[in-house]
Amino acid sequence: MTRVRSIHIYLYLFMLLTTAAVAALDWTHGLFAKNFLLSLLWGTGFGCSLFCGYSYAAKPSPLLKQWSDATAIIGLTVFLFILLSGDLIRSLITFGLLIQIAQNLVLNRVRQVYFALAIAFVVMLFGASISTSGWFLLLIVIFTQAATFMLVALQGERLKQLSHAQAVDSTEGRSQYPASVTLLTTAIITIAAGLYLVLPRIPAANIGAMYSRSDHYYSDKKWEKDAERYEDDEISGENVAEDEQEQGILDDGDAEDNGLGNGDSGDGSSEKYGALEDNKEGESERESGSGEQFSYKGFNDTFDIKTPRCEGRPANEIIMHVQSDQPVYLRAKIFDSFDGRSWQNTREKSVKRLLDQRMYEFFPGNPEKTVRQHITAAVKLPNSIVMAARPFQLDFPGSVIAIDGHSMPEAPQSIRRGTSYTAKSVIEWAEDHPGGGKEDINGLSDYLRLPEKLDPRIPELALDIANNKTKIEAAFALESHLRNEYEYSLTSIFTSQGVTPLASFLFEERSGHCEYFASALAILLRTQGIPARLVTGYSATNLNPLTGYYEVRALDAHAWVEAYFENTGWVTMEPTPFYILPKPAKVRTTAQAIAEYLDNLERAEKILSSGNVSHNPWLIIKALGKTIRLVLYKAIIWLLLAWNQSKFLIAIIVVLAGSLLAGWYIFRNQIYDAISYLRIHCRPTGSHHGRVIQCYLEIEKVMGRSGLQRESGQTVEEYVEEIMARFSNAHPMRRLSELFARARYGQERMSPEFSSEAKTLFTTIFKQWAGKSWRKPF
Amino acid sequence: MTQQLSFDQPIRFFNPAFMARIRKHIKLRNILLLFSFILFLIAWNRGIALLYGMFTLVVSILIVGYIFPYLSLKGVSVSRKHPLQVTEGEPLMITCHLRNARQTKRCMLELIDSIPCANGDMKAPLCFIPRLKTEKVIKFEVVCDWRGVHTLGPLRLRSSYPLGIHRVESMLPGTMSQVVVYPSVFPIDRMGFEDSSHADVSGVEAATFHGNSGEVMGLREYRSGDCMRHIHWPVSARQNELIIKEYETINNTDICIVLDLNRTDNVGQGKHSTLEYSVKIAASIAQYGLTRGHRVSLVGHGVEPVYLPPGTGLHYLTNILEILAYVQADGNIPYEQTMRDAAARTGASGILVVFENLHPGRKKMDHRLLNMPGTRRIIVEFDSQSFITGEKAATPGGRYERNGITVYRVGRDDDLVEVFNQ
Repeated sequence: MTRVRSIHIYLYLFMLLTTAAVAALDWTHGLFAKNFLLSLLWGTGFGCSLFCGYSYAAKPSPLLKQWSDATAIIGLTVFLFILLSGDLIRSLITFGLLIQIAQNLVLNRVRQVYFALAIAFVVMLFGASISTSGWFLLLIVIFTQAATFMLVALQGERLKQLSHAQAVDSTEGRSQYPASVTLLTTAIITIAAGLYLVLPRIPAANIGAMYSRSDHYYSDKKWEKDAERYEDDEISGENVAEDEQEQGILDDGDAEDNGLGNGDSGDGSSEKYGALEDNKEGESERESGSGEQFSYKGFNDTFDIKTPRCEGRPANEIIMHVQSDQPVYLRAKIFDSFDGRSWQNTREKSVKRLLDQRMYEFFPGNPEKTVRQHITAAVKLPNSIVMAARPFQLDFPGSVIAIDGHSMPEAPQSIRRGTSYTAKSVIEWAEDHPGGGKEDINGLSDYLRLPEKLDPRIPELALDIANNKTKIEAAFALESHLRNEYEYSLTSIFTSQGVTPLASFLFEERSGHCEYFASALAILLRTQGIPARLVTGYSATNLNPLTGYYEVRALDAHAWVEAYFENTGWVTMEPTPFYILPKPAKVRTTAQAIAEYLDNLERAEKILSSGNVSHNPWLIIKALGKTIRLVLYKAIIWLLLAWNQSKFLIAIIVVLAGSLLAGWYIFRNQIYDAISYLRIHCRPTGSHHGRVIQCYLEIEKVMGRSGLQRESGQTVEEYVEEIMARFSNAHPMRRLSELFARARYGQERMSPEFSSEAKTLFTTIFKQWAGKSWRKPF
Repeated sequence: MTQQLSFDQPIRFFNPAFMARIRKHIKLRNILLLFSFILFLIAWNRGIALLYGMFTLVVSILIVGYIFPYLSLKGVSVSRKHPLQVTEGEPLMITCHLRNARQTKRCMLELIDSIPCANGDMKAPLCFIPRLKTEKVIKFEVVCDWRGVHTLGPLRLRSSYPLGIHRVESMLPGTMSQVVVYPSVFPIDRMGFEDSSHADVSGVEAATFHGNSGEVMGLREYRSGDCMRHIHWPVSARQNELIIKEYETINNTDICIVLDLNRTDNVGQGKHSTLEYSVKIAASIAQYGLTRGHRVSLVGHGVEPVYLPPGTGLHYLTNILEILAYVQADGNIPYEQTMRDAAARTGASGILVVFENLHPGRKKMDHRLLNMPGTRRIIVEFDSQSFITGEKAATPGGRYERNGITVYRVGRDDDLVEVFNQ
């Protein structure tokens, strides 16, 4: 078969191609209007071209051939045009889709359909590789269904052309789709869902390079000049970093101008995460500089733990997607000095570094185990290039970056939405705590400095907890103490002036947000002579199992602690109970990952809604699942209790119930037949009329169960004739049907003789037919 | 030896044999397996969960492709009807009645019959049923090219629903039936029987005028000139007018068709064998004879002896055709003996239709037998060489006289209508 004639093939091809085109448009970042119009445009293109192809499939038109050639030339032009902008993959995808429109105009052969399928598959792969939205799974389902139905239509077409005969029925002449769409869809999706849930997620192999991608190229002439000068001086042995520090590489004013600053609410708001309404306050600020950029004061060089406000985005909005083999804490800033209220980065000397073909290596060598993080910004972010500790390599779409005194990189401009970059870190584990990186012992003194006016109760508390413990044990004990004895709250309650926030948090309020927890732990550790520093960044620990990306929400902008131990180097510590420290990767099923994801969502929802009713559909689904689980759990508990009390009895009941069920399933027809027999033979005295009728009806049921049902609309006479035509020994059935007709439709009353005859006929037919299966002809 | 390249020759990048081998493996099942493998590899390498989803969907399609064909055949029963006799070369109308006993409709069913008397693809005609809800009737025609008694079926029900990646087939018991394919008959306008009507005829007396014979054929009103001896007096008395008896003419002849069923005498292959030609000619001569009131009998010696006593009337043709439908050249008895047997059965008044097959492996026919006095013969002479070599006969077929005997010469691919109507 080479020709395509069925309209179903064209319809499903349209669905397939349109889905692929929609998938290729990057919907992740919510350019709904633009993408909707583009989808509409592609859909129209595919629809019109396929309609032309179908209309002229039998007799190809030379005009359409010309149009097809013209479209192909347009495709080539567009390909070259997009290629000039540097995006090879997008240009290829667009070229492929335009070529497919050209093909559709003259589509009438099977190989062209397969070509279209291949194009759509490649486009879909591309879409799946860039999409970070869980809704993309819906597109995948639609795509596979469309592809399946198209292949089914092709198979039907092939068989139709091989067929030597046509069916003679009322639908003759109409093109019938040779499949049950509902049944097929249900079966495929059910099996796929089952497989998907039990499929173990093996850690990614990450063979081959990850690429960085952005519509914007991050460069700055001044930075590049500084970097070149720094490299020259480095060769000549001079240190320009200090000069730069003096000059102030990036003063506040410049930062604001460049969009680097995080803004300053300045109103001392009591909440870390303002609701969306609260953001109205900052509208003027956004207009003046930061726009829709997400900002967190913990990313500034100095920040007050009382007002670590996040701005620009609702707390629950996804601001970043991270693809990694394991959950990670992404570091943005490191602070070493605390004055009791504010943290400061005293090692502010920053140097500029040129990227070598977008690549930068933080230290030389080739570490064996690295953790790769592919980070994609979903909104405009501050210029900190966040990475997990201990950074080793960076692939960033720019020419230059700045590295501060704690080896934290920064971009020349704010990280724009859609920018993706890849980083590699060397993570070492100490007692399930991530970390890594050793320092010169002389440089650790900064991390032991305590605030001048430190409440004396704080060292006492630390001493109580860390009594007679090694340093690392003491550190973990302090961490546990904070996690277990204090409560996480987004509401900042330390508004009164003159109160040291840390002491108030530790001894009075005993609840607060993460900056309090982190600051408290850092100071407690320092009182015990353990070098500690506060780190701000993002917690990328909530893996969306549908997309495979860790979702970082505004709420996940976070502060934690790194403590230094002689043997292990820097170790990440998490004192805030709400957050869960990243754990090493392990193989899980999708079902487990979904459960964990929903747990995380629920926790976040609880914190954010503070008792309000949540309308998150995921959580509603989860609540339903929980209810079912609870009922099952209760049932199992009840069974277990009963089992403990009388095992033997339960076992017998279970075996009996199972046997009964199995027996009923295997012998159900025989059982029903026996009931029919008993109905006739054990019927109490009734009218002879009714008995005759019942004899026939019961025997019809018996025959129906053996596969000879009377069709709807078929008269009793037709039914009996059909049986007679198939089985020559069915004469008693005819006689019984005659009696039935006389009883039901006749005027006369049935005599006892007729009743007796009907019963005899019933018995004869019953013995002949009951228990036999005519349903399965083979 | 150097091969010169020509611009007219298409450039082949791959060896055609290699391409054919590759093409053999390009099946939807393999493509889906390859797709799922690629998807899994990419998903695993990059940890792209969406591709895991796509992978499970493709695997699910494969699973469905393997399970659904089994389910699709459940609960489907088929019955078949067709005429019990058909003539060679004519279509046999077959009607199949499909029923689905289950609630869910069945899709993409293929019903395959087995029709050994057909040629080519039609030996196993395929009927595609896109959907079967409760019942459906399928009709198709098959041209029966081979005479004989053939067993149709059993019907096979097949399904490769939905994608054709896996095929399940079931035989439907009780769907075997027989059909008799009569040999085809060509029209003959005139043969040599009447030419020798001066000779003996069968019957007790010679007819002196029309309507005079030994067998009463019917009654009619008296017409002037009718013999008074033939008046049916009881009927005339009842009807009060003269009614006369009509008698069957007796100038008919016993025609004995002597089939050559000797294994070694049958040359040629398939439809172009001397036996097939003999059968076709025998059937046509029988029809011709019976149409004209002659008595026709059939003699042949295969593994089973074939003998059909002389009979008249067109209804007798059916008996002859039924015998001719299954005769095969499987005997060992020499044809001369068959002829002697036939001559003995027919007697001096009959006409023998004999088939002379002159091929190198066979002895010359006994001319003494052929010239046996008192027995008239019509000889059908085959140009065996043309049947053996498969080429058209060098000498065109036709009718001629040999020693006063009518001989029809027949070669391969000769138009029998033309040969027998010259």
